[in-house]
Amino acid sequence: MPARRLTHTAATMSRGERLALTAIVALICGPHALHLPLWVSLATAALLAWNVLRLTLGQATPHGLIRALLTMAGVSAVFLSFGRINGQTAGVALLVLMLALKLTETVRYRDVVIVLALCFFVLITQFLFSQSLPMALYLIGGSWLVVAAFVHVHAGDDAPPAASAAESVTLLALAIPVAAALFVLFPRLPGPLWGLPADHGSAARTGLSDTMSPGSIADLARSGAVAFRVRFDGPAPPPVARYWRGPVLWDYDHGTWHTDPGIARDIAPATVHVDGPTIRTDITLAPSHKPWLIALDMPLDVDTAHRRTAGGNWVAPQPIDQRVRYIARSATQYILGAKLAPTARQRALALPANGNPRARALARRWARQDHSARAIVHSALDFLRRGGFRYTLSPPRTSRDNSVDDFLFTTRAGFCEHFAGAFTFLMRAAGVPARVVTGYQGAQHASIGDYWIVRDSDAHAWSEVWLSGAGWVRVDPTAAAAPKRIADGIDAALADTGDLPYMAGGHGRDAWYHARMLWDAVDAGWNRWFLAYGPALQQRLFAALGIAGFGMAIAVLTGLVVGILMLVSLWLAWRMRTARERDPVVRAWQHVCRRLARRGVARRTGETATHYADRVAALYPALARAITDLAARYSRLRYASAPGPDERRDFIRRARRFHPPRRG
Amino acid sequence: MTRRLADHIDASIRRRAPSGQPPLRIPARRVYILPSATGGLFGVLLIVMLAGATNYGNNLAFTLTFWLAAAALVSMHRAHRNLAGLELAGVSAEPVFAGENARFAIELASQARPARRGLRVSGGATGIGRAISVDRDGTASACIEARTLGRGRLVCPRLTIGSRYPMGLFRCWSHAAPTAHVVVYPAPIDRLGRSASAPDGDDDQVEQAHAGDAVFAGHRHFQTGDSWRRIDWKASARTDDLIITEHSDTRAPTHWFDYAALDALDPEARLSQLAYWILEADRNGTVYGLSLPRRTLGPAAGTAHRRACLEALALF
Repeated sequence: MPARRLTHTAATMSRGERLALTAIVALICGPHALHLPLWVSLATAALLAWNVLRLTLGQATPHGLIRALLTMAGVSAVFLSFGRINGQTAGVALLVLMLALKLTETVRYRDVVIVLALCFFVLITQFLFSQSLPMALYLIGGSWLVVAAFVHVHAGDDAPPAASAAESVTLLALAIPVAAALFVLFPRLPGPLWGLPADHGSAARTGLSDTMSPGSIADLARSGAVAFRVRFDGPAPPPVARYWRGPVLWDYDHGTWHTDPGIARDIAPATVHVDGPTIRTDITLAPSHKPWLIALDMPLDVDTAHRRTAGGNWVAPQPIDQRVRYIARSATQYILGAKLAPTARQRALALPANGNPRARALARRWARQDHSARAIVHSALDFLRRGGFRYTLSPPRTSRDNSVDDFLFTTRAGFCEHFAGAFTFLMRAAGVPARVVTGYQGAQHASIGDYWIVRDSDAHAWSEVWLSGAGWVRVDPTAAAAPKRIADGIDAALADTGDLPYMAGGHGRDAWYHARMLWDAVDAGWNRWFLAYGPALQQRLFAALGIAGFGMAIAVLTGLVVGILMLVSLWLAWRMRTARERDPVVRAWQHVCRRLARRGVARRTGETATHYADRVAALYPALARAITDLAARYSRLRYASAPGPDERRDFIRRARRFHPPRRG
Repeated sequence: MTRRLADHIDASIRRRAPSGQPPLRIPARRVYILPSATGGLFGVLLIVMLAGATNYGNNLAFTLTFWLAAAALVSMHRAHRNLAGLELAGVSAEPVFAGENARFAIELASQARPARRGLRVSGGATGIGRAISVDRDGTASACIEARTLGRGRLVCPRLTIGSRYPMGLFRCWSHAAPTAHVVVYPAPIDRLGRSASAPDGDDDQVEQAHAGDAVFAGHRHFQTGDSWRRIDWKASARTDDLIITEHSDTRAPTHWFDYAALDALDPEARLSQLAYWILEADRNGTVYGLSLPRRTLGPAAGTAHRRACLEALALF
């Protein structure tokens, strides 16, 4: 017995084990190369390669001074590259570098355990960057690798790696029911607990912005990412009614529409008078890092929302940093804000003191000609319809302070934000209260599964004008200039669909389209059932299950986990039970041996029946005849060719009748 | 207070350890389990991961955390089952001289289908030992050492069978006190400083002088200390080992080692002196007899006789 094995933690790892550990670290860190700076990936790869080289050449652990210098170099390099050593990307870069460095001095058991624990940590940081379905496969594979390494380290020197791999599969499989119970029932606190690092989500997709200037929505429309998926409870509304309300913009200056934060103080949320059926929708919204809960047309209530804005859209208490799923009830026929408060009217008519003189003049002319606000709206729509406007993703640039004039009279080409912005400007200049509404327009039906997809490219902006007796009424100036945009979707309306990346595969319903739709169905299920499960959905589940509060949830969870673990333990006990012998002859002989063992002569491992019988006969002469006879018969049955069934039965009967007398 | 409680608990664990003639089976109720230091580290890791998952509201992070926590819980049950039902099939030990370490070979057996792994047997002066596996219907043996102080029977120390399998998060152990002992011979010490067995003079010369009269008594394997002149080269060529020819010299005077004759020494020293002479006589292939009060062995030669004589001294 080597002296190094005397204590558990002083045990050292063989070279093969250390090489395997290096491979595991490389596999676990691998996917980080997708989002870490190239130099971090290269430095990590170099450290790992150095480790492999050292191990194959049989070199000793590098000197402590070299390791200290490399550590300092790593920390400094991360600081110089990111300007910080905490934060999401910088923190992960540091973690990966330090793990690769730690590997160079990993010889003893304790170091191996620390490296494996850090591997789990690297694994979890991966999910900050992506939670897509392939990441789930990476989670399964990574956990299995690291757990198998844990098992192998503790299985002893004579255990084959395949046995450790198999044992870890069993462990992880048995853990699934408990993990599922924890996932569903473990009380979820609404995050964040300590605030997210400043760079969190910097790599994430961008959603609707809280400001609108020329070009802002066109940028968004170039993305084919899914903004949200929706299920209608009942038939879907017709295409022209598929308006999804997002933030409402009240204020305009320097060519940008936005909403002053003080709006909630000044203007109360408008009242809604529903004038028709309501539609229930089940929406899974991708994280936008903005608080808006997008919903169909005029949302009456949203089950997870807490506040309704002056513009009638709903907001969550915190920015949406994870996928959420909510039920929204919407009206498509309604009167919104039948009475307009003076503060709201003032806000909906405000324009900067100067800029866009030609647009102002045009609006004043309409105001003089037409007496009713409705007529003014029609004049403006006529102007857009007949003015030869072009609907395009990449319009010519316009100046900042006269962007409306430039668009209406010079370039005459724009995207929805140009149309909605200019129209709202014209209305205000003509004395009609108006505001800009941003959101989405359209929805694509999934070919697999009964749900609809709304993409970033469906982002849209339109106007609402206030008419006495009708309240806020939606007017979509884009529809006047490019009617196909509303009826058939953006790709039908645009001449330059080459700018839409998700259309790159072609317009037809070819195999590529079906493959994408199949993937979307998988992704939709993943988002809807897995990623969207959070505090809000858990509350709803608790309510449905009759679980009142976290205390009761913990109690239920504890009971469930204990119950499942008891089953697991029973299964393990069953698996570890003494294997029952198939052959009744052998069973009968074992029965004889057990009886003799109770008398104090146990059969030794590897002792033949005849030897055993001799030993028993020597110790208990009274039994000599019976046991010698039984042993001889047993040997004959076991090793003679083709014993008859009678002979077997006879032996079993005799063995059953064998009763050694009590000792003493 | 805590100390007394700990002693009390230890005593009750001691009392409940399965004891008796091997084979002994470790019952499920006698398997003790506590989190290990690695388990503590793992727990801290899980808490940090849970806090991170909550902070970012990240469901894959929650999944990993909960899955690992569940695997840790399952590993606790697995660790318990790894020991429960393990069989201590036998304990054997070769006699030793007092002052040497006695080595007990512990044979473990298992009838369970999956192999039991990472088992470490400790006890006596041994550390945690080497981790071994026991496959289905197989056996494996571990070795523990115990310090011997005086001659006599040394009872096998209480054994601790432990394992950290499968994940090392829990330390699992059980005790067993198999009834087994080893015979400890008296330490061979030459107090009188002269050889009683061989006549004065060179060892080899004596042997040569008597070679013609020696009667062939048998073969045995070469042992350190044997004279190379006594190697039977022909017989050795047939085996892989060196074979020594043993002669019993009929003409040579039989040596009698008499306990009563050593009255100058105290009893333990007499036994040590006798043991020394017996070893020497055995090495020289001399025929000798041992005379103890109430008992006489021999005269004879050979391994069995040597063993009987030394045992008689050990248990005197």
